[in-house]
Amino acid sequence: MNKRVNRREFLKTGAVLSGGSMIAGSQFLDAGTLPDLAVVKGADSYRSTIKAVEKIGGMGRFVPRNTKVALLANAQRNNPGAFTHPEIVKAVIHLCKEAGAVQINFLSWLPRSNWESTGLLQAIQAGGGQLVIVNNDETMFRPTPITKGVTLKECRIMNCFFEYDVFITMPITKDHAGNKFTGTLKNMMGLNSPLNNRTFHKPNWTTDPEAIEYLDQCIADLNLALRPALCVVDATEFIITNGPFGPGKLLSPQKVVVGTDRVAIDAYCASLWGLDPAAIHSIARAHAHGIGEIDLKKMVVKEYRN
Amino acid sequence: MYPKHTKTLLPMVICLFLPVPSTLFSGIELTDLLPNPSEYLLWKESSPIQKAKGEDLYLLIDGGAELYLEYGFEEALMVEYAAADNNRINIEIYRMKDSESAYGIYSLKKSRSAKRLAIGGEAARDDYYMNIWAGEYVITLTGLQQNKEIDRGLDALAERIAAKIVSPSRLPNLVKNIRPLLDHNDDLAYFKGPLGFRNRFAFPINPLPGMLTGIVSQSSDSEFTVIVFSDSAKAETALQLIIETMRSRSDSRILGEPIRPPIVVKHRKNRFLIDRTGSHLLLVSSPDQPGEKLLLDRLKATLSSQGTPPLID
Repeated sequence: MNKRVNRREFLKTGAVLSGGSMIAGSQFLDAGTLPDLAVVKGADSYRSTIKAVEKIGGMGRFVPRNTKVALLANAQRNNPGAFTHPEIVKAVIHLCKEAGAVQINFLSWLPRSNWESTGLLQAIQAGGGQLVIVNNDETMFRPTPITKGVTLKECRIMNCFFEYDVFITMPITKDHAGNKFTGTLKNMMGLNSPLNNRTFHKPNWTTDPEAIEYLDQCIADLNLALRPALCVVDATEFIITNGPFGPGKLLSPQKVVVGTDRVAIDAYCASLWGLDPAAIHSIARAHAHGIGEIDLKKMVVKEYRN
Repeated sequence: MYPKHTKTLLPMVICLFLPVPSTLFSGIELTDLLPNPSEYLLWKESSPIQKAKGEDLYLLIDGGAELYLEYGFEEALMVEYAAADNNRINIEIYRMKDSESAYGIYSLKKSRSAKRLAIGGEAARDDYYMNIWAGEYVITLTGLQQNKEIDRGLDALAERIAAKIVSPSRLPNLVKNIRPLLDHNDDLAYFKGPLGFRNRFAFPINPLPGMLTGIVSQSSDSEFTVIVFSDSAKAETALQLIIETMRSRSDSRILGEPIRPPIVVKHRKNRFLIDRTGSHLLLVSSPDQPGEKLLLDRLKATLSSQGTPPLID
């Protein structure tokens, strides 16, 4: 039987998930002096990740000691530029360990073979993290209300997700056939049940003029229910056509983008290949929800080289 | 009253006229298309074969399935082949409902800069991958490394797979008729719904009510789109909807008076000539304005000569 989450429990979970960054931030660092987005460019993705997290205040700001960390990387397909770079995964595991995390687990409902063929399983194991594969059975997902959702009123998040203290999302930014762009916002669908994800498409999506924006609205709504403490985005090399699966044209900015504001990060990443963030419905709708800032001029974006 | 065996024979006769899936007809399983070790020793299967039929495609290519379903997806296979030095190539074979649908997906997946090859109905080779259209199949081969061994492997595997496909590669009628207007290097994508259309053309109204199919063509100096509607009334309604929408948007405006087409529209940085002929809506864009008008006239002439009903596939 699925257990419904009551409001009190949901709020408690949200507080714990967001608490990692808030508690550590207020104790050790003045967040006001730090950039909103730290971007590091360089051929060595591992070093870029370490440096970007350091520039945004260090992993200790987001991962308190003795906490359990849930991570969401993209292992969709082993085509070049379609999955999170294993070296970035290794670096994040290293930083979480250094910060004193007691569990560093990557959650996924994709089959283990995806993680093997992308080299991500080997990276997780080498780094000292663990891969947790969740069966696609709907009972493995918890119905979670989204009271402020415009179109998506309930999502179904992996049951095990609620056992963790801190959540870090680690997408690769890339093209997407459905909504032109994928990054931190769309990556959240990786925690939601595949069956619920399918409801993001209207039954008459091929003929309804509003169907495409419906999908984007669902993505924005889903992001009301999930709040990562930190986003580490792979913008090293990614597909800008034929996404999300590839193969497609590759762009290689060699950048790792780190921050907490999903909208700002996606706006930055979209601009890497000339997309107008305001024209990407998922980004605009998430901004309208107050999830983050779409205008990069209002953000402190600092770029570094490693 | 009736001959003795009517009850038995009648259903059998009816069955003869029922549509039969092409793979059943030809007896081809997707796995039959893969090169096997007895015919090709250099590259061998190195992963389990994954398959999907119909909506199960979501389980195989989560997030990318809708586009295939829009074009009429039947079944798919994915497998990895490996050679010496850990060189690896992903093989994906998609069987679509017909050759025209397969061409549509192929036309969207190939890039504008891809090198065209005479494999199957048509093949397009990019830096590290290749798309092949052959009959009702679309085959995508992806090199997971970039080196000469992979290059040779892509060519060899593509030729071997395509050689096993005997069904004819038929272009959609609309493409067949428009192609003579294009230069060899022009890129043409054929869409059968809003996702395909949106992938190639950022237009504020999508889908346009009643749109069926169409093409988007891009060359170095011009771009045009033909959208096919089920009848001329629907095409006219769509044209009026565009005018209305462009008038109401802050990022668009209509240049001049939209009484007599072609209508000149500015949407963000792009300028379009929009016109209608029968059940076809045409959008042409080029920095060369006389050239733009000339292209529009040529398109109209070509499409008008096809008459109605429109060229639906």
